[in-house]
Amino acid sequence: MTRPTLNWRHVANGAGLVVILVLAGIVAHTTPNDEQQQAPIPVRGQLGETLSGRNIVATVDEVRIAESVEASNGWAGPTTGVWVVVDASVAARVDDLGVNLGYARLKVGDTTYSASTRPGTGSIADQFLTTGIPWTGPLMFELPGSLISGDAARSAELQLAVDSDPRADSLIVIPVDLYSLDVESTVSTERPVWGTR
Amino acid sequence: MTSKPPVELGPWRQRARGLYDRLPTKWLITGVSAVLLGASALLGGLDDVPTPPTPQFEPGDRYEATQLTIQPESASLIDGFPEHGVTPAEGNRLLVVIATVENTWSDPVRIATGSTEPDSLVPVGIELAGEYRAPIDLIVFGDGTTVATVQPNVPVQVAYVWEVPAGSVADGDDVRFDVLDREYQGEARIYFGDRFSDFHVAGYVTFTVEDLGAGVSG
Repeated sequence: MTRPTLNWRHVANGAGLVVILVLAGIVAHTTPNDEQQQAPIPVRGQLGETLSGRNIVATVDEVRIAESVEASNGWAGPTTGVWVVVDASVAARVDDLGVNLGYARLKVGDTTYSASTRPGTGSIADQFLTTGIPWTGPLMFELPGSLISGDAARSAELQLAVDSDPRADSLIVIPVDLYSLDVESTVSTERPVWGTR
Repeated sequence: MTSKPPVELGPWRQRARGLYDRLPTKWLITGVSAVLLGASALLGGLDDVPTPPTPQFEPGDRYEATQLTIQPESASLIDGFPEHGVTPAEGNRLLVVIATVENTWSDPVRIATGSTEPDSLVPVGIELAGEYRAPIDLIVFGDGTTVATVQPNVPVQVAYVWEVPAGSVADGDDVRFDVLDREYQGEARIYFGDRFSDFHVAGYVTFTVEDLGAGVSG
């Protein structure tokens, strides 16, 4: 039997096939999935910094923790946990038709907490926004007391977005170290105002 | 009637084929099915499947639902919560269940009121003033505000409120409340949030209703 001679065309075909498979693999593994395609677009910043997204401009001035809160409208909500009080200033940027602060979350570890609507007019949660003129006032988050002394509290994140669905839109993200904050017994909050204080 | 043509004697294969063609297949299939069905019926195949009884909880028991744990504590009848803006129509009264609710999910959980989809607790076997079995209000004990959302791992004492015609429930009546639950299906694709299915009664608790008259402040 004679040994078959090497057919360079076959070798080239094989190499071509391998190249195509590798390219297909790269495309398949790097295509963003549904979640990535629709994920909010984070706008990161620090406390005190004015952050601008597509249709949101927000400044978070102060974060406090208290066992009880007295809001400007007389509301004093008891809780079995603690209140994290965030003083913020939020405006719409390009359009204010039906636009509200519908997404205000505090993310600690894997758990997220929404701004309480129990204070009613004493808080700016769900507040309808105006273009260019901010609403300034508090947001109250109800958290379990044990959480703020845990490790996850060091790298908590405050997230703000317009409307209740932040997907494919700007999400203001501000890191907050809840662990380093002292727990006050009572915090009084100021009345939400239209404009800056 | 003509007689059947005589079967040609041929090789054995041809004869076997002839026998096979004359098999009464339909009758055989029907017969075998009838025998199988009959045997399964004899062995209890047509009996009703026993449904497991709905578990009964005692007042104060904690039930761990998919997103919330619910601990119903007591039921009472009052005239109204005027200080919280909850006043029934003329001739109606309020049936109130006090329960402690804790969110065991990793996100805030909305609890529904006044919708067609009752949540967590539903009274059974009594006449309600409204069209729906869902509570007309869910009030946080302590500040009297309406609960819209329960935050993770922060237990909250809640009053579930239903409006009932005055004669429908009286002091000392036993009223059954079903505890509802649902199964997690996964993330929704079209809208934003979680998807649930298989809404079911997880158990029930029976309370002896206490008539508190005008109401309690609280």
